[in-house]
Amino acid sequence: MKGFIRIPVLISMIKKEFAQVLRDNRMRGILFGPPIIMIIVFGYAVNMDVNSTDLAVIDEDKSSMSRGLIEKFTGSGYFTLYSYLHSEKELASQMDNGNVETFIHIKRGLSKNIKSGRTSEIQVIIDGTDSNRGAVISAYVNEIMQSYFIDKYLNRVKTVILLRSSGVAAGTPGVASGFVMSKGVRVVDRAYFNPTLLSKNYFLPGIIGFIVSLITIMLTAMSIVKERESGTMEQIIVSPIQPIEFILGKTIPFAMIGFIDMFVVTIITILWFDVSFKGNMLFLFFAAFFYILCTLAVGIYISTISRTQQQAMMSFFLFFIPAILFSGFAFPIYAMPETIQIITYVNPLMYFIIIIRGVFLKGVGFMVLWKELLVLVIIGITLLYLSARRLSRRME
Amino acid sequence: MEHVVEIQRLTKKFGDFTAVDNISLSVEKGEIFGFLGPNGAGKTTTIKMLCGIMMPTSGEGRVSGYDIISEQERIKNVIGYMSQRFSLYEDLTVMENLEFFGSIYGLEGFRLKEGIDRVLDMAGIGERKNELVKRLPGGIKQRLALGGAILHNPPILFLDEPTSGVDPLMRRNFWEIIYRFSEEGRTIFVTTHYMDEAEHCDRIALIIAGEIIALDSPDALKKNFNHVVYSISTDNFLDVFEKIRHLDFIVEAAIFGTDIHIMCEENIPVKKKLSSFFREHGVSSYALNRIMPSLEDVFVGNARRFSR
Repeated sequence: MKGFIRIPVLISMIKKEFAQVLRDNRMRGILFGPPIIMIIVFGYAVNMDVNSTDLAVIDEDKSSMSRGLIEKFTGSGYFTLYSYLHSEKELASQMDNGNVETFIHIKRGLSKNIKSGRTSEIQVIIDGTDSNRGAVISAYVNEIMQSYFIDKYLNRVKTVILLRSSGVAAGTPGVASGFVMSKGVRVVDRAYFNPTLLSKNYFLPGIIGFIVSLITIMLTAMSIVKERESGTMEQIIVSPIQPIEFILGKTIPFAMIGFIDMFVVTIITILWFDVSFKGNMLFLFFAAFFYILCTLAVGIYISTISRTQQQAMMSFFLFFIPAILFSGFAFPIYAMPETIQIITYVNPLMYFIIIIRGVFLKGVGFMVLWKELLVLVIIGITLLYLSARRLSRRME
Repeated sequence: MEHVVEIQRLTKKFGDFTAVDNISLSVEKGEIFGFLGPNGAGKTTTIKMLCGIMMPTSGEGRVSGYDIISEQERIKNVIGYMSQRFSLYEDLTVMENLEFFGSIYGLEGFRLKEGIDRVLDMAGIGERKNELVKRLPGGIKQRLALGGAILHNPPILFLDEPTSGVDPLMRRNFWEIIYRFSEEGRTIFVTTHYMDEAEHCDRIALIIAGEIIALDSPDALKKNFNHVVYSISTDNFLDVFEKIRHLDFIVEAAIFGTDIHIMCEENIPVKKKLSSFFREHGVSSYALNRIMPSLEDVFVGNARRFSR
């Protein structure tokens, strides 16, 4: 009898889990609400793109050239003219208030100098409080300057970009890149895989990994701890049910729910948010299976260290937050110190996010991602074995 | 007689604390065996060891012939266990609970249906079988929990304080079911701290601080009690009670209605001592009668002796 998994027992375990989850308001609330709300909120909210930044201008030149430049800025769609200023003093207060993020100072004589063959300087000051955003704006400024002066007097214009309050950052004061090159040569950047460089293309696939983890870990841990809390665990232990039957009965339903959630948010990402899906859906869900093994294992482990559902919730966050931080979901791993990078190597979410992004954006599959998949398989099986053993020891 | 439960020198320690201290006992087939003791005396720990869900620190035991240390899995198939806490799923219906617990005991199809029908009938909840368990009143829940424990028709039942928190009528009803089980030849091992319930048992073990201090049938325990109990009827029973409760020859004094019950050690001239005491303190009208000790008296007397 030992070691022989009884299918009817498994089926009735699964039936019971679904009945309980669907009947429990708290549990049912977790199932589909948060995943869908999260993907929609993140889809609109987590946006590192700079679409509109308020611009202030001091135009001392007041020439057709300077006006043309300002129009070029406002016409780009990235900049909205907030106001014309008269002195740099005014600027300081506007920037401190957060009214203005970008400031252009066109000195008197710009047009005359350039036309007569001399060089002239345009000063740009960008609010660098958010260094990422500052760098993006700085790139836009470069792009606009470059295209405005391209044919005319490119090598005579010197744009000085200063990032305010972040010290020396991306836009180090100095000559902006486009302007030191010799006339006629122009570098055209083109981003592969995410040509429009929209951050939603990058983040939404990551969020799919995030949601799958949340659902599967929470449901598994909570449902086991709930048995202990309500005393039913004792009745289970005293019955001839085998730990393996119990563990399978506790994980299969939540793996199924995890898959359904993943499918729903993937579809929303593709159809609602227009994130192009280039790869193979089957491969993605095949990889997800092994990732879900990891999360179920974590859920089981949390259930063995928590006596109450509150404790399980706390333990969940203690695991989940570092898992997100060290997954490359938001903060690039290459930028982390090497010692910290080592931590990320054992983080299954990191591999899963690489796989999701690879499948979504690059359209790659097994041939490229087999290493990540292999690591997920190894981590998944090991973790599940260890936590299942831990739970069954506690059951005997 | 066939011994269905047998334990020798069973001990369970949690760190420095000894929950069950070197106890030995045996229970015969069909017997209702009571385990009587205060909370924390080690009753639940003993039951858990017998059910195979807790490892003893030392000692040995057999349930239905299976070793409680090495054959726990076999024991689980022949016992029914009802824990102190209500332990069915409150968020499932009666039927869902019974189907689930039946199936984890390996019941399927006809046998499952038969088991469920028997339980619904026994607990008298056929018409409420599709209700959520949390909506049922306490007494019915209790009977349902008992039903959950006997779905698979086990020959041995372990009931851990099965009637705690149940009203007296329901308790009586519950005990009628237990008697029926006993008549069917099932062995029942039941813990309680209700004295009146202990009276229902064929034999009882008094357990205090992990040790069995007495073990016999309720009648024999009373008969062989090495104390005598007197009932005093008097007008001013409250005053008298206050006066005599600390007398050195009285082991225990308690008020029962308007009477005072006193317990004294044997071979002490209680009547003589009391009448001279009452004379000195001006208590003139009183009646003193020797009465049969109750189980509670037996328990208290033994507990006193034990703690000394």
